[in-house]
Amino acid sequence: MLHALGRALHLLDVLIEWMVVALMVSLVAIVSLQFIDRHFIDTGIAAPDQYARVALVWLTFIGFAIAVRAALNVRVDLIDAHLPPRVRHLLALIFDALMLVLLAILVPGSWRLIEIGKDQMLLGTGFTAAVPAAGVFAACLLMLLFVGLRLIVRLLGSELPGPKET
Amino acid sequence: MLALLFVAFLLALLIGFDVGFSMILSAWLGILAKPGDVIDTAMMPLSMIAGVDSYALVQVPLFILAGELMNRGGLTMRLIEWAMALVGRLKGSLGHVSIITNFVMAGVSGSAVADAVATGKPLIPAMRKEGYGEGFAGAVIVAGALLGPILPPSIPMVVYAQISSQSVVKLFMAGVVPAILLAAGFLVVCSIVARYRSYPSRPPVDVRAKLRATGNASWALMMPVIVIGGIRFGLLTVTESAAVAVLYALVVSFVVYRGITLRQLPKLIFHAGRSTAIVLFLLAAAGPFSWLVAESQINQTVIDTIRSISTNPIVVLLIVNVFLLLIGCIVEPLPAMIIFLPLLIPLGAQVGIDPIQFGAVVVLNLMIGLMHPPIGLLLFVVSSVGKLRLGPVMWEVLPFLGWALVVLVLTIVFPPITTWLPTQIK
Repeated sequence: MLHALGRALHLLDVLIEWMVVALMVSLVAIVSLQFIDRHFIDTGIAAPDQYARVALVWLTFIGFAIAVRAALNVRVDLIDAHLPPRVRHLLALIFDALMLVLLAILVPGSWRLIEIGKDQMLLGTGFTAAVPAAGVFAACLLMLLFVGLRLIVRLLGSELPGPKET
Repeated sequence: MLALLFVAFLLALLIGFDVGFSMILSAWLGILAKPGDVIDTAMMPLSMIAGVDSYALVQVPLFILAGELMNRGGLTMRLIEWAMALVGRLKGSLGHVSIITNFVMAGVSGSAVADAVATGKPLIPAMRKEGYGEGFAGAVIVAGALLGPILPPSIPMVVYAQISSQSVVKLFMAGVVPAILLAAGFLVVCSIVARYRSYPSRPPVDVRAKLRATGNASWALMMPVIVIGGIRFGLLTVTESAAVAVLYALVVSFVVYRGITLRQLPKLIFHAGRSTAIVLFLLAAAGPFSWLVAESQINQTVIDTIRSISTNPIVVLLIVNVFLLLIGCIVEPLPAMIIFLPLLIPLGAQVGIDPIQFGAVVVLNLMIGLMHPPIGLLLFVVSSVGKLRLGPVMWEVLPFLGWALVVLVLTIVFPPITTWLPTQIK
């Protein structure tokens, strides 16, 4: 069961990894095109900075979702070494539960933001304000999935397989 | 009530809850506790997006990627070989090599951790082989890597610029003189330790070999020239310079040094993207958190408390720095900046401290936190990379830490150290 779950999550990890790569490449391309546009030839892109900002919002939230999955998010681990393993385990469960509560607030909030933003165009682009909001929504859903599964598996006395880097 | 939530936030932070989510949690509790109209659920994600929806922040992923490419693509190794040819005949030359290599690398990479890994991997085993103590071998890498986020381009400076709405170019320039002072002092510390312990020197290298090493490293040496020169002479904006650095590092790594293969590239880009997200999520989470800070008026309490002690800018800066050094003992630099700067920046403005000097001093102070116990991140990174015991590294880093604190005090007491160069920028 855990093995099958690990394989399914691996497919998702690969998908997110490539998404992060695509967002990074698009940021390099957009800023480079802006430089070319300013100094050499007209690229015809009206608002490259707006596209870059949208890509950055997506990168921040989607990238953070995969960082949460790999437990690379920033935390102060000052007292960790001084706690007995049972207390550390209990704290990890509480933290995951707390994170789930917050994500359960952010998911409907970001969905509402998509609904509000779908009629507001981002100046100079073909995008609406729903596009960056969708990045937050997608990332919160992913984190909800990752943290939820991690909590369930931990409550069952096991550990969720971590991401295997491709 | 809201001030109590700030205390709850600090508690969540200290017991080890995710830093970003600690900020979101306290902001959410603050919204619940606030009497009056119900706040729309969309406000929280909206203020999170606003925290990172900035074109100025686009340079963060680009400089992180440029640094990764430089380190993996062989540029860093060429710089080490070049520094070795230049100063190899000095006693304890590998210590000097670490400082000089990091100083040049800092012109592209804004990350101290990446620099520590890149220089620590080849130099720590080489130092151990030549009989350097394990503590010194680690400490000198820690000291060198500290220069990365102080010299331009610097990711902490970009974050400060974003929080304080200051010019990022001026902040970059404000870090140059303190970084030169730091590097000069670190080189003196290396010389004194090497002389005292009779660390070996390398055979002298003739001029032709020096020229050959310079030629080999010229592609790597050109990178900071392109980045900083491009910004200084107005050819590139800071963000464009970051993209140019990525493209240049890519071409040099692939075509000239052949240090990376096409297969390795996606993984490298992914790592840079994930590192970016970890940093920028803190800024996103700071969006709702800054609402809590404003609503609780805790910044006014902090301002009133410090102003009741003194309104002299130097004394206030000293108090702020003691506070930040203490904070640096428990919180890493970037989270500390994001959490406490909204409290401290208005204080600086009220007592008449130049915002550029304030930024440079704060960044320098928090970066010093990377090298002092108990949570000096660089100490752990270097110990892990070089397979060194933490105790000796912590002990040997003390002379470098002492000099860094002297430079910090100098930048507080003599504002032109940080304000002169930025005024030269039009």
